[in-house]
Amino acid sequence: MLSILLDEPGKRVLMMGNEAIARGAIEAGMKFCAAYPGSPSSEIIGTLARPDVAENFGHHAEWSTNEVVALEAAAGASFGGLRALCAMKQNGINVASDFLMSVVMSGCKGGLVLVVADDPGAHCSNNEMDSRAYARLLDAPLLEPATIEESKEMTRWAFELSEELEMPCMIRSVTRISHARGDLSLGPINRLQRTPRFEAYDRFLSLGTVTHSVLHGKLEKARDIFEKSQFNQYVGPSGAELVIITCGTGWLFSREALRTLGLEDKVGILKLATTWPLPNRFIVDHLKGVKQVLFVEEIDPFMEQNVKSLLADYIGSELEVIKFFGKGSGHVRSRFGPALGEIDPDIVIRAVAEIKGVDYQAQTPEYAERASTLLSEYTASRDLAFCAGCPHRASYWVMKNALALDGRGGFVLGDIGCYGMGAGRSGYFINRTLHCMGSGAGVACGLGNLAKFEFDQPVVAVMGDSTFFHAALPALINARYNGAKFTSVVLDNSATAMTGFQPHPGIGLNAMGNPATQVLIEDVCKGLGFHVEIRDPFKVDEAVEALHDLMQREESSVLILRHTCGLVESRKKKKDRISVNAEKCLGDECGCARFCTRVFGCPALIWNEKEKHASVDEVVCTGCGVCAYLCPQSAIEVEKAEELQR
Amino acid sequence: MNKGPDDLQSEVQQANLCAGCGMCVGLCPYIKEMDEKVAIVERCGRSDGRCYRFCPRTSTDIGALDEMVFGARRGDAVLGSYRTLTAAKAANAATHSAGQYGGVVSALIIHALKKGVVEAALLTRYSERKQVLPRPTVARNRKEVLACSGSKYTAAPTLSALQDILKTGEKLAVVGRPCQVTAIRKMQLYDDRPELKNIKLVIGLFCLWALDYRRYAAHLSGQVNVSRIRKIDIPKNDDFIVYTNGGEARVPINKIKEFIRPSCQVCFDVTAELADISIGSTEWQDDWNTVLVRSEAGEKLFADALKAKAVTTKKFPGEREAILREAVGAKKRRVLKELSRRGSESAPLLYLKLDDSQRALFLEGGNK
Amino acid sequence: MKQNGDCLNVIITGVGGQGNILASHILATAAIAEGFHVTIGETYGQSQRGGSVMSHVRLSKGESLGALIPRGKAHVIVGLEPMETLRVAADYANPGTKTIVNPRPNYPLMVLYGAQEYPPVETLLARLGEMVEVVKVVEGTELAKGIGEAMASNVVMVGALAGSGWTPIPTDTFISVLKEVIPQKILALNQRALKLGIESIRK
Repeated sequence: MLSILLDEPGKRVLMMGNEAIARGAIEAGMKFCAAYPGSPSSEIIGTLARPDVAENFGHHAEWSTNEVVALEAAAGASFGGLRALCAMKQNGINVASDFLMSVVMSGCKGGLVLVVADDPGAHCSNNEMDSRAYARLLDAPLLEPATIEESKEMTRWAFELSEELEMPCMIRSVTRISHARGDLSLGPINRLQRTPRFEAYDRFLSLGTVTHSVLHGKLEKARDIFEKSQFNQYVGPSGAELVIITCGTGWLFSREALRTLGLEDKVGILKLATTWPLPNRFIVDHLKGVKQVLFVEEIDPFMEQNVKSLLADYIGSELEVIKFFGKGSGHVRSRFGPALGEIDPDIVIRAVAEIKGVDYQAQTPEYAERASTLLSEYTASRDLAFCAGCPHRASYWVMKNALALDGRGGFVLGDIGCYGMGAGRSGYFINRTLHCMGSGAGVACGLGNLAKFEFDQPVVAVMGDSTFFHAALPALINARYNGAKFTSVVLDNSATAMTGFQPHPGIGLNAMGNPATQVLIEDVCKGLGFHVEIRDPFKVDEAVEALHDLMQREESSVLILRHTCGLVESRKKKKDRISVNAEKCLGDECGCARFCTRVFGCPALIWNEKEKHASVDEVVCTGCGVCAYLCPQSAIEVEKAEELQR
Repeated sequence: MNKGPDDLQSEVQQANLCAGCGMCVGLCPYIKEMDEKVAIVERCGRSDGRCYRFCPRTSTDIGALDEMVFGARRGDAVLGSYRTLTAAKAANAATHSAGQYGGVVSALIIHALKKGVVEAALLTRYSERKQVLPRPTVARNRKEVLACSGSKYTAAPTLSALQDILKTGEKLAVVGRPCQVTAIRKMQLYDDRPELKNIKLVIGLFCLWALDYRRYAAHLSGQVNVSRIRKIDIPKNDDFIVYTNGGEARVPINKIKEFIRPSCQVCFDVTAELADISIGSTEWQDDWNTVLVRSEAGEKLFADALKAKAVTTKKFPGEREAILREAVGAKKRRVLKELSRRGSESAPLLYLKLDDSQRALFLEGGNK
Repeated sequence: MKQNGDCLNVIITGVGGQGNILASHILATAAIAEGFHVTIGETYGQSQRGGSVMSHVRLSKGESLGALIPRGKAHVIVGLEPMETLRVAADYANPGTKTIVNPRPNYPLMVLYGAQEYPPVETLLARLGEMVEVVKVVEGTELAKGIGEAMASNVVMVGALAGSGWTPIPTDTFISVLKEVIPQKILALNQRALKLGIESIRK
């Protein structure tokens, strides 16, 4: 049985950080949750939306069309009196920020918790940003769990806090929390039974300076509560010369650093779980007599600057002169530099070792040098690529061909998600811009409207199917309204694939797997007045001609390249067996010169260097067969799964 | 010196010299064609390639090609090697009326198929999906041949389909413009694949220029209902006339000439000089063709067709021959001038390779 | 439990799509059953897209550890792919590290394109052997293919770890927790895979 379903307080179970956050919400009696998927946050709602979980705890879970809608929906449930959760990745808070700025002013009724999962090191993002700056901008209380267990505990607490303050509360997670797993103790489940009602006296109004001043009052109240929070703690000797002030992942990294250097008895750690507003008194009280402070946190020196600013009022009176170390001093730095990339135990070990003048080597110099030689001589870089069987690879090949055949210098404006790889080798370097959801179409509204300046290059905008609903629609409407001319290519793989195959409005299923009204992309586009064509990208020639022909049209048009994500498809059916007929394969001869491995670049197609022909890695291959279609020599053969079974 | 696709890209594609013959398209998975535009989609990385070698707009050694096809260099600088010059038309009324002028191309192909001289013919017919767009097609009987009748006026890159048809092993006739005939002959000169022997007959079409399909089709679609086009013609340098089921539309010939492919401005060959038989209009009698029988194979087929009464002929009048020579000669001199202007030290006449004596002969425009 | 106090640091490394996460999940579940604190640091999100993936699995008594193992502090490395094993060893191994490697290569894109080379597997393993105390080669993919599902190679490799005696977890615990981690439908297959791995390393 899934551990999140267990009602066994005290039982220790293994959970992913995101599951722990979900469990925290369940333990708090949360009844409504909404999100737009985005790594590393997706599994929060992904877990809560599981049919067994949603049914067992009776909450509503949804994948909303985008983050601002998700937050508004959650706020709506809160206005009705229910406890509501909204989760997003760091990009999402930018989308949600307009509503967010006003909902902190209007306040809320049921506990409203916003979880933002940042991605230090950009493991699964095309940006790297520290969303904590929003908490300060918003005047909103900010919690930063440091362990998997705390993720659950603090999420539960955040609902109470939100109701006490009558305003949304923000939790900041990071990849190393959200996507880490650890053991934790299950708590009791709050079987809260509230009947939502929008009362006659309920008003949720954001009214300029008036509500702003109310907000400041709430923030001071939050500070008072934080002063007493058990999640803030000091460990270490009293009278330590050096104190590490840390939050989030920095907590365990700092513990490990001191243990590794044998400095546990000499250096203190002040762990902050409430990083906005700061618990001023708590911090000052623990820095009495301290001469050195090292700040350890993910991405920006957010806490570092806020604490420094706080301490400026106390140094010389209650506090001694303190030397500060951290990102500002350059002591906390990744291989990219300070305030870039993610932190790890080695970064903290090095920072402490440098400050304390301790010699520390992770590996002996001789060993480290051998290791580095091995890396450079025996490992090849492993770039991200479209998966074997991915329809996008074919779609990008289609675009590459159509652009060349059009021959007027046309180019593609890109999107993020899986399509982000369209800017790399796997997508033949086709995408020429990479910003945010839907921005390809938006940017095309500009570049596609420069004809009067004698701009004559065709413009193509790429978007995913989920992106179409998330952010491309306003741009497409704008294109119709303002007469921008471009060709939209919707790469419709019938899944939000990058983040884990969540459904979206075009699929006909909701987050909990129940049938839902299907909003067809082609219907929407036709309704907007676009000429629409639909092709299967695996039927490459037809798709190339369709795109080419659409690019010749005088008006904007839409091409939907529709083929289900290879990973989704391979889960559903037995795969066909693909193999190379070595006798037919031309290899390096004038002809294709290794089209399948050198150019098309499907990870399942391997070049047999000894025998000079291509072959198929049957473990990686999904059996999509597009290589058989494309092989100029017809040397790739397909045996259908049905035939194989006979 | 070996050259490859990168050179094809810089010397032909980017220099706007692509004639749209289709030869390279059929050879390579990275060279593609859409609406008569040829593009190199991806670099194959080779420094030598058939795509470059067979292209009619890369170094073309007229003397060597003459020797391969006719066994000797040409004596006639204007019309090239030929055995007879005659006026002809298809004897069969239906064949004749389907054709653009005299219907001789259709008649000869039908005859060759009937007699088993060839089993298939690579021709062009209009696309069913795109207006006035010729696509390569293979005809194996009279009905299929007649479906391909009529002049197309654009590049019609039929050779894109040649390699695939050669693989069938059928004996083959190819009908093409002068650049396409040159491409086939270059392939035969430089390639020794056994299947090339399947090409039994190359019929060349007279050609002064071909239109850029995209611009031409866009213009026509603004002028007439292109879905109802029956026939297109330029009667005796008159306006360009589009006959449709709902009447006819005239486009001034000067307007149409704006759409000529740039490559045609440097084309040296009007009468398909390397074909077995070359066929064009007469410019004086609409229902007859001018026929230049050039090679031994061409002579054999033509004689046989005459004997079988597939075609009828009449004498080509001396004064018409003089007019033909003047027109072709003038174009050649114009092109030679343009080629020397654009040539470099290593390629004085751009793609054309002539020795000094040949060059002098051409410039004089001398006869036999 | 050895080195660096009271903990065991295991790294499971491979390529996206090889089932790295499931492998670390089985190990972690077994460890919890034996009363350990466990932290797994996983990098995924785009891991299905052919990139390197590694899971840091950390067992401890007393208190939980951070999700990342410090450089040079891996006690055991389980490599689902040979080149990735070497890559991870370069950063995290020390002369006392023990390794179990599936020798079947998964070729990186740049190798497929012909822009970079994949060294012979024997060479990779030999170089690895110079860096660590033990290299145990377990033909995970071949063994998994033998039971009809190449994708079960990850469980074979976990089986090898279970049978290695290099963890403080009894082999039987791995076998018994499998049902908590693997759906009923494919449990039998994975039980066979786990046992194959156990037998294979004991040979």
